[in-house]
Amino acid sequence: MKTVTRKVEARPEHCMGCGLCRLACQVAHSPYPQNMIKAMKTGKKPVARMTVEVSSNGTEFRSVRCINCEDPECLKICISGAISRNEETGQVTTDENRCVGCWSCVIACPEGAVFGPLEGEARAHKCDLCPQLEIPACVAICPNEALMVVEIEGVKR
Amino acid sequence: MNYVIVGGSVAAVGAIEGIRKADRQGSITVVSEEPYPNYSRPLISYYLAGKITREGMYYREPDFYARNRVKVVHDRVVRITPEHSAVLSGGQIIPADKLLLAVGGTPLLYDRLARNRDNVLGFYTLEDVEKIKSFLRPGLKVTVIGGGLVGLKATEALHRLGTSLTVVDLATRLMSGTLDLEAGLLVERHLRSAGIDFRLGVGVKAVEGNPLADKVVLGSGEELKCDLVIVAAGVTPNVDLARNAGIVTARGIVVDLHQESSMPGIFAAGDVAEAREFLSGENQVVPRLPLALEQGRVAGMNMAGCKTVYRGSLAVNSTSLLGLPVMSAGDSKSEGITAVWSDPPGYRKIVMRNGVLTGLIAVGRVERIGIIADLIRKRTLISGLEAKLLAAEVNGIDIRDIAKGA
Repeated sequence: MKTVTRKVEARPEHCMGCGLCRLACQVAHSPYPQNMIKAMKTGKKPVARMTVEVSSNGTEFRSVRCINCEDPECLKICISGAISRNEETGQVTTDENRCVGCWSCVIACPEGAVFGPLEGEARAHKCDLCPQLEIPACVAICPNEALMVVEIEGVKR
Repeated sequence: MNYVIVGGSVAAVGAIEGIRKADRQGSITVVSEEPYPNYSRPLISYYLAGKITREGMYYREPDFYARNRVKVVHDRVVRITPEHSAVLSGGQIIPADKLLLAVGGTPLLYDRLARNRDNVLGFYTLEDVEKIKSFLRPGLKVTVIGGGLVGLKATEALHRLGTSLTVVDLATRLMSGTLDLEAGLLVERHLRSAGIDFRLGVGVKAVEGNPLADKVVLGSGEELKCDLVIVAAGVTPNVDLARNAGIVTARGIVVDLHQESSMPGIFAAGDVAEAREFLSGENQVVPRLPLALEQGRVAGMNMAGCKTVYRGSLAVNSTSLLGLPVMSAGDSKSEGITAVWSDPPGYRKIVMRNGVLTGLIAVGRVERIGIIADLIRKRTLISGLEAKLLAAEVNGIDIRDIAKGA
């Protein structure tokens, strides 16, 4: 079986730490994906499913999201079976309706790529590669090509 | 090849997945006492609270067994023979080339305290929850025996359902199996502020009343009047099947790095198995759902002839108690270096041995904590860099420098 794995690849050497990717992520996952002002100013602030890391000395930046591990720790630790991996695409997805908010995936993820809010009745959010868009919102908005969509072809027996 | 799996919970699911990775043809039979498809035990508190439906309890999709061509027999295995056959309660024999014991544990304290009274219940199975539900009404007085994770999840759910709760534990702090005093107090304060009451550092002398229990008598002499008693403490591995078959057992069924017991061809996984612990390298029962899945997978692969080594049990815990996230990993109770924050309250502790991170507690502020927990798994040297691990915000770039040995 031929497989195509889609990934968002970050190129830290091109990243300026502007944070637009995080903003675009929030907007894309809000009730108003076409309208940034409305998305950010109506009701609760939408959750970003990724983040931008800045080193403590302020010189390094890195746009971080789920890297769709081959043997994901989040999947193994999930108590609700909400996390699954598509064997054809390699994509790891969270069924937010089945998530109970125990945050096991938060302590299991070596990338720190599962997001809250972690207080109250929330559920776990992670990068879903924007299934509704041709190109994930973070990649589309990046002004410096520090984010790229890569497709890796493989064969699974 | 005939595979027989005794037990139908998470370790069994892992084993099925492991076997099918290596062998698509062999016949798999699961013998399970519980009359439901596999479900996730830690979800019972969420089901009780009404956060998920009964359908949402399933750990794998309902067609999981069918898709993996697994035959399920709802029965009890009373004996296993040296030829790996499983003998059912009616005497029927299921022959196996490879057999897995994934039979979990039994809440022994519950058995001792309940004595056939309908309103003294455990908190272990879906059936326990259905029974608890039949007693529910607002203002119901409930005593929960056990202030560990299971007891507190039961408490959280029952609090949401409008009952009045007192939690009793012999230990002087909550979640004494994984948390230190500081973290335990944070959890206790949080739950007290919601109106939940505690009696800590005191044991239970007796549960009195007949035919229904009406009070819990404590070691101090205090009597707690109640309408319902939940016993959520003291689960012991079900080693009898193995022991009677002459297999080496200690607290659990002792297994090697392939999850194989002292009797070739018979494997064990999950809450019943005593497998290698990650930090000490010694065999230990570490009853945790993800470890049961992983042990099951390793057992399954090896049963199907694909040599796989278990990487070792690392206890990782995470939960949310009335909105407060509480996490720990590894050797979390030992002395360590701590950081405390207020508004919102947070606590973090890192534990080191020989300069390597071996334990972690995080309460309240837990964003991206997995970046730190991962260093335990990677046995990363962190001496001299403790401050970076205790910074209020977990900084991925800084910590990756640590991991690289910067």
